[in-house]
Amino acid sequence: MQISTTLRNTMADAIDAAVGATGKIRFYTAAYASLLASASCNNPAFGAAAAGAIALDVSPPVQDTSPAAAGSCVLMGLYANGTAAASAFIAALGVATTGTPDVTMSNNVIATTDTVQVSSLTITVPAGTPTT
Amino acid sequence: MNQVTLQAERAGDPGSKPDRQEITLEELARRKQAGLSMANVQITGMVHIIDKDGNVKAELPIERID
Repeated sequence: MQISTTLRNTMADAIDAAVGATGKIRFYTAAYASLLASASCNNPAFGAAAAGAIALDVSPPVQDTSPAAAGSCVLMGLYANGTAAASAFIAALGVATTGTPDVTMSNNVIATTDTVQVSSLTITVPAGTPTT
Repeated sequence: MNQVTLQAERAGDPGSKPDRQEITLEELARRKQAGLSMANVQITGMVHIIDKDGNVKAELPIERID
């Protein structure tokens, strides 16, 4: 299946719309047991879609300068706000220091004195190819 | 060339004789690649953990490409 660029842009912008004006990127321990850090997104969180892709607006920085708790980050997720249930993510990513996780961390231990900063994030809806 | 045999009961006809089709592994990979869904959305990026002294303690490359 191949998706048109117009539809890919619509789908990518829909992700941005789902994040909304008060989006958060939240970092959790295993099984969402403990919220470690929560970085506020800008409004809008992403720029307009182009070629099926949206890029996170990182100016001003998307960061948490005072993490709520210390621990090992195993999950990170994109949320519409800071109060949504952990399971109510828009996108969730697995984090690990080894193997082939979604997010490879050189050090996944977050301290309360650290700053957790999302330096870049791009979401792409692929075009695919028609199969005959 | 490696061949893969796909077989499945016809939809809505449990117990029917399976349909068979032989394809190459390359074709199987191509079909999988073409079978798009929202699960194929790609996410790439970078997260930094910076310590209290301003030093980058960890870099977290994000790469979720199905």
